[in-house]
Amino acid sequence: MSGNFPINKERRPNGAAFAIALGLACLGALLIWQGVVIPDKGGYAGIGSGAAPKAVGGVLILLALGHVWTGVKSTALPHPHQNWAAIGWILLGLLLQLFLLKPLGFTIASALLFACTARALGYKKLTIALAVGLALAFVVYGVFDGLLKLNLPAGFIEHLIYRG
Amino acid sequence: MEAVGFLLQGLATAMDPTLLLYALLGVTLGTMVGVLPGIGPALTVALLLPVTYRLDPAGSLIMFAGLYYGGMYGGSTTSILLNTPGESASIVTAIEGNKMARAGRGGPALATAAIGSFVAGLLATLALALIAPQIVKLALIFGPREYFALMILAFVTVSAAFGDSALKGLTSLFIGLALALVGIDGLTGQTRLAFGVPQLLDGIEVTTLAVAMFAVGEALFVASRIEGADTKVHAITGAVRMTGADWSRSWKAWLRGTAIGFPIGAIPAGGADIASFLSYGTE
Repeated sequence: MSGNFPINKERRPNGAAFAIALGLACLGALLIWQGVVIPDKGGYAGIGSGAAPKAVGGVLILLALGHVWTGVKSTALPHPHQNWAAIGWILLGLLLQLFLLKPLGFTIASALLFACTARALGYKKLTIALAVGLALAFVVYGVFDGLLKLNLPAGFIEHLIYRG
Repeated sequence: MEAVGFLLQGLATAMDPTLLLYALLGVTLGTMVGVLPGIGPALTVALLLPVTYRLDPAGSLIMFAGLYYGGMYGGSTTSILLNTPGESASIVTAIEGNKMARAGRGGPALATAAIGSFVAGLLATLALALIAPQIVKLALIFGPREYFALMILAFVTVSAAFGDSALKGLTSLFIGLALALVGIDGLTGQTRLAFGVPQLLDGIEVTTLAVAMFAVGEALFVASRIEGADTKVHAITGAVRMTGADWSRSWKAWLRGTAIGFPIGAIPAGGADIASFLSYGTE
């Protein structure tokens, strides 16, 4: 079996393979549990709504075993350098947008996301990034709201400008 | 040869200057809206439906066709330049086209996408007019078994074509299947894996997932690699034009794509995404 899975020489630390395997196994277990729990009348030839989750879950657990196997076979290589601060900024921006989209509206939330991403990519001046993000988000909101009649979540700024 | 007569009659109608203007308008609008990530051709047509209210049937049909093709093509532009496919069919365009853009060959990538769509579109329309009755017969024979076989073929192609290891390919395939299970089961109406969240009842949309995978994933990857402000924008170098070598490499691929895409498009539910993944597998 190992012949089919050539060990990646660039970076395949043991830990990563095991973490992936754990995640896959959890997902597979969740699917099987849900497949068993939901009401299943059996359907045609015993294939009901629970069959597909159980099957996919089973294969996911097999794949988790496969990842454990590759993790054992491969040797741990040094991690490539990763810029965790940058990833943190982007995640912060995404979370901010996720939670502020409804209360503050599309424009402000997207401007914050833009500023955080700019900071992550190495642009240090937060105020300028915020201003550019606000302007861009305004234009995007205007295009969606005015031209396409698609409703993006509106906050007080949008009400003030576009429906004032 | 009745079909050819009708085709020519249709062409004569379409040659009307006003109708050609509608076509131009439709393509331009469609491309502009299709360029927005997350808005595919179908949504483009739906959004711009009001524009065609005042037109007669021929005019609005022509404009719809223009909108659809424009939307399709707009999707390939964002895929190539931003690595953000607008709909599931241009995922393949993003995979290869963005690599070309990074290598400074964005111009030829855009050109081959445009000319390829044009050539394949012309050929497919001609073929459709000529052999549509036969294709319909074939498509109607398709039963559950044949659909199943087609799906398996598409999945196998996907897992074989993507990445260097079969384990990775299969893993992503089955994670995708697990995500696809979320929502209401199409056959029994049973809710699966929604955990009481109403937003999950409709399932997870391909567009949402594609933007998450390609745009957010790309942003995180790029950010994790930078040490300072040393990112550079890849300009579209060279004219948006193809060299002789580009042409000689491209035309066979266009024809193969047409040959694969045409029968699949004739099958109900055989979408552009399956066709594009299948033809990517042959390249």
